[in-house]
Amino acid sequence: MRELSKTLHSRRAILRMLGAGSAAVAIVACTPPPAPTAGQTAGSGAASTSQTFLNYWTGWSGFEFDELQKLVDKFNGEQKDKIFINMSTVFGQYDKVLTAIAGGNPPDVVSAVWLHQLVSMAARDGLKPLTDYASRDGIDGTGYFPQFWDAWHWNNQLWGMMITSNSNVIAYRSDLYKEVGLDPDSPPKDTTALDAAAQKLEKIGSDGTIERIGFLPASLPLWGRVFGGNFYDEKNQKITANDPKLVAALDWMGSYRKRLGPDKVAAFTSGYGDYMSTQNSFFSGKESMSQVGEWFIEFQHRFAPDLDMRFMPVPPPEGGRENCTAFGGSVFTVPNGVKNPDGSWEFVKWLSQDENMGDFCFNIHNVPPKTKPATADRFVSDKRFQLAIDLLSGKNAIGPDKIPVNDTLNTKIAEAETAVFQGQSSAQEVLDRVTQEVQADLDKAMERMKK
Amino acid sequence: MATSIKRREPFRWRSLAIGLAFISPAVVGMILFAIWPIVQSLYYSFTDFNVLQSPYWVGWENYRELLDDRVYGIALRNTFYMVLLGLPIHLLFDFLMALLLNTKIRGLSLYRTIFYLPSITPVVASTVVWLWLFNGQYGALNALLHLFGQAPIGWLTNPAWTKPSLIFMGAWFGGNTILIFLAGLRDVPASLLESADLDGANALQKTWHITLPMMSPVIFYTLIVSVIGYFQYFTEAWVLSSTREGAAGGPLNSMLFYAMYLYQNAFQQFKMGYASAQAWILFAMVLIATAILFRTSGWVYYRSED
Repeated sequence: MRELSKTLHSRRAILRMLGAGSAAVAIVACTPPPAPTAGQTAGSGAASTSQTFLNYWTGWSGFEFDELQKLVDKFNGEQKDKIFINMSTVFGQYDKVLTAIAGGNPPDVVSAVWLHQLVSMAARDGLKPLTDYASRDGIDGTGYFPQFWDAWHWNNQLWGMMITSNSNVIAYRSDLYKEVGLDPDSPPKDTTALDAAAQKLEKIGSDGTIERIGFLPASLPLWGRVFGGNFYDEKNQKITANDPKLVAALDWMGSYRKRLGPDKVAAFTSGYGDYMSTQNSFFSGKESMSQVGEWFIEFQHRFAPDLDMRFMPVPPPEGGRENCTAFGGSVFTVPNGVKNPDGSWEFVKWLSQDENMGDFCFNIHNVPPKTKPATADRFVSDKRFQLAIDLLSGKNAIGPDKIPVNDTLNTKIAEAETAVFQGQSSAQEVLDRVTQEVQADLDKAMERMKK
Repeated sequence: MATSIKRREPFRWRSLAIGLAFISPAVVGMILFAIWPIVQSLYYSFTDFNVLQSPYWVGWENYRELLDDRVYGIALRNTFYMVLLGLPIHLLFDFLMALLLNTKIRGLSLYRTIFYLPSITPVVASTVVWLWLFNGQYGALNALLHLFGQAPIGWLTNPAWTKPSLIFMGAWFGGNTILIFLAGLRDVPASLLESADLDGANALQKTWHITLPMMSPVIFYTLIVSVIGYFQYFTEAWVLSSTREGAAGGPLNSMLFYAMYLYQNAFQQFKMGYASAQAWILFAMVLIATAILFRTSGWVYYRSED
């Protein structure tokens, strides 16, 4: 019996050891990996125990990520041994951000948040308001483009800040303009002229297939505003997606597909090459005019350096909005539940300094959200960039509506566009439906928020 | 004797404990990562839950709302299209392929390898290849049509063609089912086929009266597994219909399947309660479908053990 109990004990001991061992493995596996030591990045000081390691998630990838890393390295270098930023990309996986916040292990700073998602994230308690930090440090929106400061506010709180921004323009090729006898120095000023130019630039093969397209309008969120419409009545919390001007915009967008044949357009556009490449439909000459933003200048430098690409403001119809642009961008936010919000704010504030945001924007050819760095010679020496900046300074620079269900609205609008483009339903019909469905979603969200 | 039995009793308890301890990694894992989440999702299905804020009890509201959800209706119809049309076509195709690959011809193992090859390439990778085969402008399929003077088809852009395209592509992934059918065909007793030969039966009669009945348990198994799989149809449609903006579902949601809509609600819109309700309805549908299949399985012939 003694022998038996001894063996049992030893078995138990082994089991205990096994259990403790596997528990240890599990704990180690669940612990976040240690942040890299400061020595791993150039220009930073030696690691110190008092140093704060912060994780920053970005949505930028590729060459844009590399440029941002340079800026992060500069910050880490200046911080000596106070704060160390460890950046990683969640490109294409923005869903991860909410999951991480919900899991109680959020990154300390996130910029993988689109401006149109800011309100919905704030409404879900996902973000920390930055109002107190900003007022403490005397940041009050001075120096920014007029609409931006307000765009980052909701419920009287500041929820984030951008260090880059975008402006919508239409790019056109002077070579093709000349080829069909259009004057590249006077691009279309209204939709009627745009329609005429687009038809002139079209090239249809003998068998009826499209060989080149003049222009193909896309994105109701932009054109709807250019036509003078609004998607949301913020005061009454009413979705107004069936605003007659939005219906007119969608009708007009659909008219291009109707004229060319929806199937032929679909077949033609499915042959477009990779967007971020020399095969881009605009660079390869399949599209004569294309809806882009100022960031396309950098694309052109990289993928079609010899091309004479020019920009024009999005032309409105009669009674529409002149020089209209729908701006957006990645917002730097601090998730709820971070352990060191002071450090997170420090990083956001540093990035927002004129020189730092200016350098980054210049390297990736985005518009700095502040007017002083944006109007520096390195930007505005390019006429196309000047146009983008003028548009953002104007009264018709419009940001996303502050709706907590913006994602639903966008999904439904995209669906409505397809239905009209395919010739399946009328613009009125689908936009009535969008209004009704998104309103129901919004009412529900509002009701929950009250509770 | 009696005392020895009594004395052995606690020992058994100990060995049970030890046994349990040994399987505890699996049991604990199962409880923590499977059973507990399942129970949780049932609770969430009765709440409004966006992951960040605590769940809010709404009773049957999620389930009621699903009845009025137009897009949910589309996803449901698309899924049933796949289960009721795509699945039988694929099973029939796979069975015929297995019959062909079971004949005695030269280079048989080569053919078998060729038909199994697609099954060892990752689904996402081969679907991306299909994306190009289906391409309206440069796709090989439309080039083939052109060769015969036919008009091009918008395989993935025309809502009427998207699901037939998926079914067409699905034949490519039949390798595993063909393999199972082949194994079943190998199991059909040669003696029965030989005696049928002696009775003067032709190939069709032999297939209908001997091969099919002997194969019925294999077919039944494949049917059950496939029904469950087709209700959860996701990867191929997701890859083929994903856009740069991240939305998936194809033109007019013609490729939006149940599991895709569930995923969108759960992980893109973060309507966890709503998505959980969908998940439980899916579970109920699969359960009912399986029960119906078992109830109507009179056609399955189980050979006795001798």
